[in-house]
Amino acid sequence: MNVPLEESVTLSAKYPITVAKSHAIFEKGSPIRKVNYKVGEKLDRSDNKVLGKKKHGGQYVDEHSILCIVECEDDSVYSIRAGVKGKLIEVNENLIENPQLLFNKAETDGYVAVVLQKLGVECNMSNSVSREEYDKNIEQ
Amino acid sequence: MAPADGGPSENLNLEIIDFIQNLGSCWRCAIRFTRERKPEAYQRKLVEFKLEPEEKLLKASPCVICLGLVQDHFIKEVFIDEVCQQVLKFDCDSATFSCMVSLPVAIMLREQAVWFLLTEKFPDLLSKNLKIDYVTSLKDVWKFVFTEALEKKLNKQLEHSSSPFQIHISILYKDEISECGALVDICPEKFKHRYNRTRVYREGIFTRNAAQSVLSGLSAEDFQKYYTLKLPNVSAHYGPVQCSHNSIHIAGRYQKFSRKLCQTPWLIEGEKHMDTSIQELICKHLEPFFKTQSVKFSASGREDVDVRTLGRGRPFAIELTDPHRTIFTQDQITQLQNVINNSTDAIQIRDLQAVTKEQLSVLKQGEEEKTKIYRALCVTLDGSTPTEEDLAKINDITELVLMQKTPLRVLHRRPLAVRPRTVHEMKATLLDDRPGHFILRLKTQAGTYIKEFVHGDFNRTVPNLCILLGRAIDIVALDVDAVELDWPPVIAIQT
Repeated sequence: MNVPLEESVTLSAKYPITVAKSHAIFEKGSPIRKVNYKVGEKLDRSDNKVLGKKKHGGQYVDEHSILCIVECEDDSVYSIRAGVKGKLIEVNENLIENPQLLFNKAETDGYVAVVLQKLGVECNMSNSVSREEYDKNIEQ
Repeated sequence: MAPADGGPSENLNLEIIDFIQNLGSCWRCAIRFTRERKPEAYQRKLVEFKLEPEEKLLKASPCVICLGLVQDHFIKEVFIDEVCQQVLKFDCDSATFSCMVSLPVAIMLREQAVWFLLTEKFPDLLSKNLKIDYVTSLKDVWKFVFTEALEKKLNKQLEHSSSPFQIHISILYKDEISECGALVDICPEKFKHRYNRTRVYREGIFTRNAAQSVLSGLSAEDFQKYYTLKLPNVSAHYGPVQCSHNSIHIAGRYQKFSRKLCQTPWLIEGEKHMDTSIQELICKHLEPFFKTQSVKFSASGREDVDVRTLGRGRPFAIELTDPHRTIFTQDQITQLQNVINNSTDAIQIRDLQAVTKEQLSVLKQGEEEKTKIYRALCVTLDGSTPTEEDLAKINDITELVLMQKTPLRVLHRRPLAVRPRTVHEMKATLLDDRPGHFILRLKTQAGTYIKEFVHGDFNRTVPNLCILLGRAIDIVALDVDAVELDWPPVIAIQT
């Protein structure tokens, strides 16, 4: 898609977080029953509200933070983690009404959330791989 | 000297003048207190006046009120020469000027003291209703005295109602702070904290406004408790002269042919990201002509770096601050336009002309209200080619309301929000020689994100072209065909 996920030179990068193709959800193939953004007793990602240009009030997430919990028809449950460190800007409300989007259009309309990452802030990206490497890996 | 209403007769005016001169004032300040408003009276001394105090003393003392400013003994041509030199250095070609003089607050206090002494001495003759503005202002008298010399040396006409060219002369006085100490005593709360904040009050702890508010309504007794009129040790002197000229506004329309050009300089962490910008391409020729380095560029909206602007182009306006060249003709401006157009292929400008400040609001109006027409080169991502029926569906749609969430690509510098925007009409045409490609012409409301309408931005803009055509679509290139604002007026060029 011709949407630059980050503009070529900016001080921040926005990541629409999507579920990778190799995730177990797709392997098993069971349709998704529900996408739940309430990931803790007091933490509901869909309550996230940001104000102004600097996005005040956005929940901070890091690589391990759980963004949402996915329940499939076959009762299997998966936690989807952020994978990057930054500020949560928005969750994909469409997934609440239409959870199957995550399955069908994982890489586009079925994105999980958008996280704003400030470059220059220490961020452990060593666990991530580039798109090309990823595609190569899963072909094997 | 004609008697003013409620004022004294001619004899009493002489008594007043006498009294004030005995306090230590120069003849001009003395007649100020007789409400003499005629400039001529100050330009030539009338014979009846008594000899001035300094003619009796061995050592001349500055006037007890004006500190020598309008006192013959202390007026030296070199002062005015120096003032004019600074103005001439500024080198502005304006034919007129207006002059502002700022006086030390100490003079305000001295005048107030003399006024109280005067009303005490002549309580019946000066009716109680008269206030200190009965006294002719020292600033006015200064202008009566010096206007002719200024006009001659500057070769400009003084215009009392504002000329676009202003010179601001500041008068300074060494003993200002010590004399104004009385103000602190009268009203400590107002001034004490200012002593500590020397950075904020660098230009003067004692401002005219502050002094004015302290003095207003103050009775003579209260005033005299804290302030005694004394003969000054030094005269006031001339400080720096500031010159400024009203901004000149130049407007026009630009077409953008490059897909690698931003509108204004794009700075990342203080460094230029791109070689140049539309603003720089135009302003680098305007700045030397108008002799200024300070410009503000604004336009009726803007396009992305990779988008061309065609048709009649986009209206823009440039504010040039403190221009030193202010006299010019439309022909010269058109000449400038030609120079700019010949200097680059990336942009072309037209209708370049001077406009007034008031007209600038039209620009913003254009940005927020006027419709725009675009042409987008689109491509399907699944390799299919839309059929004529598919496209006919699109062509029939009018007044389509989109809900656009802030596009991801601008999310780092815009607040997150959802904005409704209308696509008024659309027309799609297939390209025979490029399968899967088609041209989409659209007319939209101001502020519509076209790229996001085409590719959907993860369905954060709905509806979008992908939904309408039932397949993933992307945008290859975008042009602005028209910015529908009829301003600035067309300048016809005679060949």
